[in-house]
Amino acid sequence: MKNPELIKKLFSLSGIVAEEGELLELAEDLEEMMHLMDQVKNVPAEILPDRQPAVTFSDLRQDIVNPGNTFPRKFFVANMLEKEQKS
Amino acid sequence: MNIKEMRHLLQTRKISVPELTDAYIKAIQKKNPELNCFITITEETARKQAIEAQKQMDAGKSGSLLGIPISVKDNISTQGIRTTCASKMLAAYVPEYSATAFARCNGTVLLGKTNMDEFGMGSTSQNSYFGGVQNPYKSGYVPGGSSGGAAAAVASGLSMAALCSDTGGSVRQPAAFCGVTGLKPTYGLVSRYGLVAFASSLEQIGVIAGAAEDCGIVLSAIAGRDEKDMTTWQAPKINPLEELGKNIAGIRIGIPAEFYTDAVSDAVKKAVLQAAEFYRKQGCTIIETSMPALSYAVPAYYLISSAEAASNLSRFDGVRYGHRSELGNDFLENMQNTRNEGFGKEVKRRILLGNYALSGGYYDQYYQNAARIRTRIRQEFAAQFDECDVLLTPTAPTTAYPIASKTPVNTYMEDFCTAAVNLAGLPAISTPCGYDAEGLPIGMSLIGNAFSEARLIGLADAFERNFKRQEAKI
Repeated sequence: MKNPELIKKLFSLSGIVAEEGELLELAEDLEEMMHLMDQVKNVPAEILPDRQPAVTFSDLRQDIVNPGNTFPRKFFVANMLEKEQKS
Repeated sequence: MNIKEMRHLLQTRKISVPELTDAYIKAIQKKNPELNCFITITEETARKQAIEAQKQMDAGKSGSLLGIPISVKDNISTQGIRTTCASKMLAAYVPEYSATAFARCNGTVLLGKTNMDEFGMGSTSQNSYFGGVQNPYKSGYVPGGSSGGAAAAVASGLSMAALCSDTGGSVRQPAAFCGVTGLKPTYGLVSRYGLVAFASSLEQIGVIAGAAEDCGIVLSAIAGRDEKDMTTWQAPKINPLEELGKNIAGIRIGIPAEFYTDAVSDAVKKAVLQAAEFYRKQGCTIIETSMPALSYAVPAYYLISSAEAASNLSRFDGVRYGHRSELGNDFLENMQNTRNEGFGKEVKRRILLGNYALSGGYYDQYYQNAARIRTRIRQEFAAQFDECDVLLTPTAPTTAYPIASKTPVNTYMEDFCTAAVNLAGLPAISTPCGYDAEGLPIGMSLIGNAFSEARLIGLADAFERNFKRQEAKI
């Protein structure tokens, strides 16, 4: 949190402007807060439960080509047919 | 006096609703300048509602809350009455509709909107645009937060019950600091429609009152499915009062070691363990347990809640809601100045932290890990409830402390007894169990499995009937 560019970016991202004094004060507060938050960053692996695999686009695509799962297939096929008819 | 006794006085015409309301308004006018527990006193509304409630009573109508004077935390929308969230940003905001929870309090008399930490962010009730709240047991000390105004009002006899929100302990911790009872229901039991959003996956509307039974009476009125909040649960239907007065022998009470670390003061430990002894004597089984992931609950809670706050509070841009700055040459500059002027320091800290945790390169290390710790904490609670029916813990590691005596991070650390409950979406009740050498109240928490409010209320009530409370000084 000592990187002034990062702090300025963070303020901009948060939609907040601040005078130099307030900016420094908040940056110091954030630095202290991050010492606490770093416990989460450095948490031992055995504490963390297994991560659920994320749903990806290729999973969804599999749904389309796999006739066993019809929800997105119906939606995409209907869209494709509509586009074909329009063209 | 509790709600049941007050209802009896009203029904037997020992006192009328307008007389009762007048007594409360006078007490508020006398004590509020010192306590600062109300942001808005709704005297005119209260007097009108009192007349209407009396008419209904005279017509033979009854209701569990008919004529009962209540207060509402100032982040719960009340139609036609300003709802400020203790922020300059919403200092003049008057909602067009009422929150479902408040709308369900049929027949009550609204005395006013209570002071709080801005947008619910804090545990001292000092982060308010309208000035800090005093502890009714000792002036110059914090009342806890963020629902410090509500807790102080109930403790000082300025409201019979209070609707308030709990995101990481905001009902329970001020209840403990002010010597009253605070109930945080299961996530999804009470509608959040009309509650100004801070951290949507964590917060829940709860109740502060003089006793567990009173919390149950109010919960009976406000709980249940709401089509306007799709996170409310359809089932099961619960009766929060069904275990009142029942034999508690055989109930298994867990004591997780991580809630009794060196961070907890000796006075608090002693009082809570004496309560455990009370339950043992009533035939409950006391089981020592462990929750290793609890030590990560506070940083995980702050990362998740701040990430959600950064998103929820992005709506305050000076165009759609609230305060708008006079400064700025274009929309972007005007929006930045609006947010800079409208938000207090603690809110800014949380927005910055939230955006940092969500930003590219840091998301996996902070937010994602916090979400996984949350899952682990839920699993650990589930394992606890395989062995135990409820858990008994301190509500806060210390009693109330002098105003401005702790840094923000120090106050965050104090949330370790309460925040894990919100991460897991469980119900918990805090009730007084002792006083320290300075006469400041000590609170204990009973934490239960989802939808076990009736058991928590029954157990807290059993303790309260054998515990002598000391009156607030103010």
